[in-house]
Amino acid sequence: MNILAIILVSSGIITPTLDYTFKRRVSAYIVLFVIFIASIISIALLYITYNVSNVLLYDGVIKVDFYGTFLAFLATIGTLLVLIASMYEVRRWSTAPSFYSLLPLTLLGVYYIIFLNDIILLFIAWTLVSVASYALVGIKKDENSLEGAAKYALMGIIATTFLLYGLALIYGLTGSTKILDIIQYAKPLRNEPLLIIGIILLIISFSFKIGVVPFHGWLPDVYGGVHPSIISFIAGVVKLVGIAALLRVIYPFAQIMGNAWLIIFSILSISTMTFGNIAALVQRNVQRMMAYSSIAHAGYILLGFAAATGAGYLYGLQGIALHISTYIFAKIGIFVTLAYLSRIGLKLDLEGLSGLSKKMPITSVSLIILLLSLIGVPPLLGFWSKFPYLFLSTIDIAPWLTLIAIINSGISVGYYVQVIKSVFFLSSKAEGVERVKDPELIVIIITTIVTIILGLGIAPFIASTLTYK
Amino acid sequence: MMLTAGMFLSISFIMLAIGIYGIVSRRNMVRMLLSAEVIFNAALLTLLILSSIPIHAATQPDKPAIGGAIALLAIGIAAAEIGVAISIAILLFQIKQHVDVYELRKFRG
Repeated sequence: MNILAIILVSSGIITPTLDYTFKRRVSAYIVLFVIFIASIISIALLYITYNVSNVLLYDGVIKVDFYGTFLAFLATIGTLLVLIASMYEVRRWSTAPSFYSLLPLTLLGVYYIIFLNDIILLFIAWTLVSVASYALVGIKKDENSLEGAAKYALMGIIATTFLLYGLALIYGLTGSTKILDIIQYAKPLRNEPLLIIGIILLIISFSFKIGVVPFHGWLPDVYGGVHPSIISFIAGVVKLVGIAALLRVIYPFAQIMGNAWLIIFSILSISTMTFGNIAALVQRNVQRMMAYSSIAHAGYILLGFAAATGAGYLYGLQGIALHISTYIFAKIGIFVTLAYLSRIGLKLDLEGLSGLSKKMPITSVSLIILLLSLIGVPPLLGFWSKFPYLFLSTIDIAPWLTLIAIINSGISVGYYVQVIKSVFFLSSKAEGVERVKDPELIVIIITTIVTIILGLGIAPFIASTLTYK
Repeated sequence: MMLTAGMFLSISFIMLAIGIYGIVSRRNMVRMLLSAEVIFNAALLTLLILSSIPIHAATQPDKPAIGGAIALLAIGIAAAEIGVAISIAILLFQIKQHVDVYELRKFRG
């Protein structure tokens, strides 16, 4: 158990060192190999931790449980897919070695945040992920990437300062750095205003990273302007960090916060969903549309957090994990598709994609399936995560929240269908040929197949195995 | 004159308010970074005060002096983060000749 965790962690550390000792061309394959090993180890970890209660490592700093290993497995698979997709285009950039060394470093930070049980580790891993992802966003060094990176870094630094302030208040009041101890000491401090301020500052800080609506200012510019290959990683894997941190650090406070918890999270969730869906409706650029849809999906995930004080909390937790998997596979697939199309030379707006299905049938069909999964059409993975788990989790404490979420889901059909209409039913303007050897196409096909297979009845089984203690 | 935890905490909250005001009202990237640093210093002050002057003695039986260690660690790590941000700002300045985030909104809508 312990050894496995060490291997998993060290694989991330060693790679960038190896990366620069060899010549340029090698780095991509080394990282691919290491991430492949990491994904095998995470599968093994998944098998070992199944039906085992929490294991504390390193003097209680890291807590390994099945829920965490599931998230770690998703993050690893997501990174692997992004890596495979980057094999053709990104490998030819002049900054490619930096790209390949930053990927495992970021993944290492994601692992730490997923298995976190200590607030000092939270701060360090948080900064590791943040710094690596600022550099990753700006790595192409053209105007759009740098604009995105500047905003991302600025918002990230503000988030980090809020995080430190919140941690300072919580540590100062409870006198412990272990989250399990903090919860115990915090119980008598239920009405202490400083504790509530600390928790709210932490929620603000994590919201910056997830892109929850009052703090979403950076997200459309980063997701909409930077090269889609990089965004597939930022949107798919780095977003997991905020959600995992919220789950590990804030979620245990649900019982202490009581009613305030439901109010805070329902306001955040409603504003996020509504803003994301309505702003996406008016977009003509598909990449920016997906950026706003990504905000909306963060709102759906927050529903699972809002359910924490009610009877449906377990559905909420299972829904969070399932929806993260829907989100990772769909977003990575869609952004990789966009990267593929922009490499071929298409414009990424609705006119540019019109009639795509005549020229590139496999890509179009996969794109449509992934979009349908994000809508939540029944046989696909998105249906399982959205309706039976996330939306139903709040029904006993806040039925109005479920209603608003379903209305929002209806609004979201509006813009996804525009893409589908453009790709399938408009006259053909798009040029391009797809070749089976293209790595992007392989990734697109893999994500589509996973979305379909998990949708065919496996998702409820996965959800039933996920319990959170 | 007695120095109490409440006094330092109110100083720290005033610094937090100044920092938030700076972030909200300024649009220059370097000014926003400086405002973030003010919040950061407020956080360090809170950390050090709360780890040396206990507020709730009952919940803090024997507090180890981790507060100072966290503060040192945080200063080092935040320096790295600011370094990356400043280097991005310099690259941006070379291309656009200004670092005004409000002007950066090229893709509106």
